Amino acid sequence: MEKFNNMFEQVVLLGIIPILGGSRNLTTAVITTVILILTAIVLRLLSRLLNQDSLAGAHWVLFLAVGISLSYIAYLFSAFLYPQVYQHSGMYLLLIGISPLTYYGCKLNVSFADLWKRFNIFFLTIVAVSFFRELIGFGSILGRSFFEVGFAPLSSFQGAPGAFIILGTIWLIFRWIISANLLNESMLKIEEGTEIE
Amino acid sequence: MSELMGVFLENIVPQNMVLIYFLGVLLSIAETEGVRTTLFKGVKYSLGLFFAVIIGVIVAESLPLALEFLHPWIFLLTALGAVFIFQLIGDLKGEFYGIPRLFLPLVPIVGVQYLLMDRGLSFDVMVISALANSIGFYLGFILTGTIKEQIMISETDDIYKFAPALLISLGVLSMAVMGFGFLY
Repeated sequence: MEKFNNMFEQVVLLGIIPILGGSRNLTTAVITTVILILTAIVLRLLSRLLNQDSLAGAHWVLFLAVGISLSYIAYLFSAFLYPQVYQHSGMYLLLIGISPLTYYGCKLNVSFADLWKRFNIFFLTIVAVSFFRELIGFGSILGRSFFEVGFAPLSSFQGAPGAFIILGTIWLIFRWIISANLLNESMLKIEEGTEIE
Repeated sequence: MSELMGVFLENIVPQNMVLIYFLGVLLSIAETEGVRTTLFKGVKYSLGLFFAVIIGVIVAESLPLALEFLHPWIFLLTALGAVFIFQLIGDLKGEFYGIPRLFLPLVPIVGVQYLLMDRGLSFDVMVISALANSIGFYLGFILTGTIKEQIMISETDDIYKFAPALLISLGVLSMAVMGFGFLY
């Protein structure tokens, strides 16, 4: 399993709640990603301003309080600007504020380039999951239907089963790509000292 | 079937917090090992979830309408209280993929509190829902542990091991529990 200890697996595991919950359709996926990136960048700035050693481990609690405040603001904005997204995925927008991936950039040994790489992986994954969920579950892309009247989409893919199965399949395809050496593994190397299960 | 019994069963199966709302997925993936250890660990997390949710919702409901904006912080505080107790009894130590394990139970605890507050339930229905969600979490936790153990002992290629196969299995299980929706 050592060969699969890479950034993709880390990002998908740490960000699994926003990916599964925020991938109902493409619009929701983009909004989820924007909120996650903005929250993570503000938290990273805060973490660089504070002396983390002087807080003796309590810095995570402080970051969590700020993180949930930011995601709460985003959650309220989504209710005003995107009521459809709020109605179906509002809870997951709020939960971005306590998702582990949001806080990864607060670690002192993580560079901004590596953090940005993780955002890209997150965005590509959530967009891929939401694309197939919307296509198979609703029979549409960005709200535009591609099928004739009377076509019945696979409604279970609108909900949790679709999210699990599509994410699992994408993960599997990624592992095949890694195993076939089609991707440079050093691109996805994670930081030294990061404990892997 | 009485209304309370209906609410109880509905929260365990067709609205399961691991398989339908994804709330307990990360905790289940990260904290399960073999089935034996999972059985005991699951009880601890389920009890923590139950009491934290009850306390959080009671405190949030006791606030006047003008202070409703404080709900997320109350949910977070109760979740952190539960994490503190888990850490006192020796759980959630160390890191998971570079992030402290204290983050893992926050999503399920805050998420269930949000769900129960959002539904605007009476006190008895809220307690029954919290209990049912804890039992639903326990079932999801054990199922995840069982699937993980089966995947680990199987002789399949490494590509299929751990998370991809686990997620696809959870997807199939999720489809199965959705099928019980017509009962309630």
